[in-house]
Amino acid sequence: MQSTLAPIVVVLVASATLAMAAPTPPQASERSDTEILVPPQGGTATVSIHVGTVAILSFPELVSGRLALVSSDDFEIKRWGEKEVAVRPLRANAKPTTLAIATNSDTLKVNVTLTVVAADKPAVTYVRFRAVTAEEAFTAQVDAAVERRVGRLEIELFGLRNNLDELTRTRAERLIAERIVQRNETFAISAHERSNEHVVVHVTHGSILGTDGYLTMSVENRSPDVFRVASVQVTVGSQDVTGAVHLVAGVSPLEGTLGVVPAGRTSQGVVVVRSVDKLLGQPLSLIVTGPHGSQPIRIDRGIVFR
Amino acid sequence: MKWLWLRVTAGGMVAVTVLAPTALADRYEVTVTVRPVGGVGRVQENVGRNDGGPGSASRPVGATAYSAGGELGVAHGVRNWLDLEGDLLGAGFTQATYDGAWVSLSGAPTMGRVTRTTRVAQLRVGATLRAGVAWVSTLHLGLGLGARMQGAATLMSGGENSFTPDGLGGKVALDSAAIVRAGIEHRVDRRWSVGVSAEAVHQAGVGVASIDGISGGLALSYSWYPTVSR
Repeated sequence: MQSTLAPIVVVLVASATLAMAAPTPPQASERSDTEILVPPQGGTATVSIHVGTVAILSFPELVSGRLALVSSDDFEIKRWGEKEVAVRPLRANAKPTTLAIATNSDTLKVNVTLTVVAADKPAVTYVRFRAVTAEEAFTAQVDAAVERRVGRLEIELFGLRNNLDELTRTRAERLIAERIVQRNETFAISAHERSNEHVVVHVTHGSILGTDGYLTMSVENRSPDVFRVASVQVTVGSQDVTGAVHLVAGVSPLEGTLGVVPAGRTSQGVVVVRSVDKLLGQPLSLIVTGPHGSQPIRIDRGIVFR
Repeated sequence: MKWLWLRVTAGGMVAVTVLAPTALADRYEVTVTVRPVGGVGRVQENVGRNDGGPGSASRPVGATAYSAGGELGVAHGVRNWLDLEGDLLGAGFTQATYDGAWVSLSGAPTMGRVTRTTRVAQLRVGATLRAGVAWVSTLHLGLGLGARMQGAATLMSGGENSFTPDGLGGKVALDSAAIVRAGIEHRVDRRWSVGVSAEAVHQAGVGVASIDGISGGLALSYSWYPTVSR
């Protein structure tokens, strides 16, 4: 386990870099602190710094006097207290510089790569190094990897969702346009029926759009109780030709219902009749029922597409 | 009598207003109603003595008579609160009796007891305001046109002998009517309704005296939505 962890060196937890993977990126120039977990065998870390700023590298114990092995002189590196080291890029085009640091007890050894990033890129100003066990480091690395992956997926999903909405809308618009060109007629229908409970269904218009028909209806609830519309069905004889049903009830439909019509109110609705071009001239029936087939209202006359 | 039916009419209108819940009724529906009626009327006859001198017209005198008949109505809901209605009415009055009637018998003025029967047949149209759903309060205003059929009047003389006075033979006269009817109906189911109503009517004919009456009736109605081809 230890050997497999060897390449795992440093895990950034709650860093600005990780935040970049989130669907909503943070302000690129936002300054932040971060924590770096270092396993017992030591590790590496990359610290991004804006030019003109000072970054503090903080350790849990005294930093060894060996601040050796600085790979370039593009950075000014100084002790800042006993447990901190301050670093500052000296020029905007400073080359990435590595800095090997160990604590006095040698429990924490890390090779830090300092890089200068543009002002619009995320950078840190305070870095805490913490010595952890190999298991903790592994867990943190897995969490970070998962979070990065999930973040990427979320971004992709977000994009797909946006595209899907747009794609769906575009396709629907195109379909409607095609059907309008094919056939587009609206005509009045006067077909009505009521239940014993004083709920009246009116079919007032029929429309043919392309190959499908649309019946405009209203449900007038004159009873003192709410009327729950569980189903709306259009049939030709025993054949069900019902497509989508849309009922604007003004009240959120309960589960298992298409809509709820309050007492004394009227709700509008539209029923799609599929492939109406094959049903022209045939009398249709429209059946509106409450839950479990209660209060059926059946209109058998007056609904014909021509 | 006139004040009586005016009071009944006003009372009916108030009752409808009080009973009416929300103004909802039966738009698009057609309703056929059978309404047996019975009532009482003040039937007037021109048999009163006129002090204007010989040859002057007789003064109308009223007599009370009971009536019975029936109506067949057809209504169409044009709004949720308004029906347009047409009715066919047939009714008859019991024999009206005019004591001390002044009539002419073979040209000779005579006073006696005159009796006469009257029947009416009318076609009425009007509007009915409706309020309610299961219980429906109604107020109907209508006008009618029809025929008034009067039997030959009988002048009783000497207990057994009877004569028909001059000008009071059987005849049919053009008749008109103004009607106010208030009622309440109960919708039994989606098709059938039952109800009661009270009606006041004023009839005026051509060449005949007026009749004022009040009546009450039961109503049995059947409603449906007609199919309209467009």
